[in-house]
Amino acid sequence: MRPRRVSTRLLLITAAFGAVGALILVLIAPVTTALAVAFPPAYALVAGVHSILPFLARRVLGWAWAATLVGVFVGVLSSGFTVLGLLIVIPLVLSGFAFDVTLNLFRRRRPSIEAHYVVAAAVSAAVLFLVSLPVMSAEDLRPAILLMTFAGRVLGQFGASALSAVIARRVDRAGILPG
Amino acid sequence: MREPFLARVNPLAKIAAAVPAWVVLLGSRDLLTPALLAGAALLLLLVASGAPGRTLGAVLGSLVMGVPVLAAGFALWVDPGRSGDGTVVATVGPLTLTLGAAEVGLATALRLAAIVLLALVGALTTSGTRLARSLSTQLHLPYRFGYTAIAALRFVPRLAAEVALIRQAQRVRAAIPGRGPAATVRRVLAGAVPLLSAGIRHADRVALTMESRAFGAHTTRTERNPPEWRARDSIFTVAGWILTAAVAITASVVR
Repeated sequence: MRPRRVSTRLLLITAAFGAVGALILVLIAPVTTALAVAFPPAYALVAGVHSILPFLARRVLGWAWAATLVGVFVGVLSSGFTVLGLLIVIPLVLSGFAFDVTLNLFRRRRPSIEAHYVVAAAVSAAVLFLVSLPVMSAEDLRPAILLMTFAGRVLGQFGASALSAVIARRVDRAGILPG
Repeated sequence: MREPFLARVNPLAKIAAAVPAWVVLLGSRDLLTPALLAGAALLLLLVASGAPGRTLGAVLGSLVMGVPVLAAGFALWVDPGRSGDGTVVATVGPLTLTLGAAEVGLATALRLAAIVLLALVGALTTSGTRLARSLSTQLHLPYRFGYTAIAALRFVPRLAAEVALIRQAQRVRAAIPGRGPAATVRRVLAGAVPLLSAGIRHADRVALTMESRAFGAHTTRTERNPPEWRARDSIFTVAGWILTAAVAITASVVR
């Protein structure tokens, strides 16, 4: 039997989430760039904003790879407007992928509950922290800065997960979910 | 009018040429490797991108201002005990800046500048549409994903207009008055549902239109003007690899 194909409708709704995510990324890019230079832990915290749309797509659409695909779309759409170009795709996709994989592993046993989303957000925070290590000369940095950066990542991803839950509830109440 | 050289190179060739350089940069800790690669990328942008003078000026200005600020920022967060030369240069409150830390900060700033400049070679000279079509044609990514990405590109200006409309409506109704970050967050949250609603509705309509024209009915599809991989794309890619190898060897010899 052929595996079930993702519908064009689902793909395009994911693309719409990606377009909103790209708008947010381009809007706050000047702030995040300045924070990255001034104080890496603050950047790690604020960068959680980029995870709201991928996490929201996963909650609203329920499709197993929604967060990953939204990450791809956000990266491709914003690559022309950010200084990192296509490299921006890497953290966005890895964050979404870690979130999706964790939730998919949990879903094998039972339907997703809020605690699963929290764990998935923590896993994505760890992945993002590991990805940033080679760029920021981690072996030379003060351990306190590294710890604060990790804490910033975790708090940022938790915040993104919590905000996505709030928006998902509002979207659900508004009755605009795809049938 | 003839397109500038970098705009004619296949988008995937620009990525393939830069990947080894990015890998070398991530592993490098010296000053020479990022300086040489940043210089090469900058030269390529100035000579072959055809980008407007204002854009190139902004890139140069950001480099001249950004690298020293970035270097100073990173130098302050470096552990003085781990960096080479312990000669104290300055003390800022509880933080001590040593010569070794300044060197690590400068190397990190140059590394980031080189990574960004290499990314700009592709970003300034490639449209999202060309990239998506190349991904479908050369990398054989399912065309439904490639064309969805192209559709998503068209969503961005539409949703940006929608954001402006929602803001105007909020202002007219004085829906969420007040200033400061809390009021801003409340306004953004209040605008999120109408924005998503507009996005989902539009995506629905586009999907219906595309499927009614048999989009996705077959596993493959033809292209009217398929993006090609020419000899110059192979030469560009190999030249990027050779340049990276030359820089890595030079840096290791100098070390």
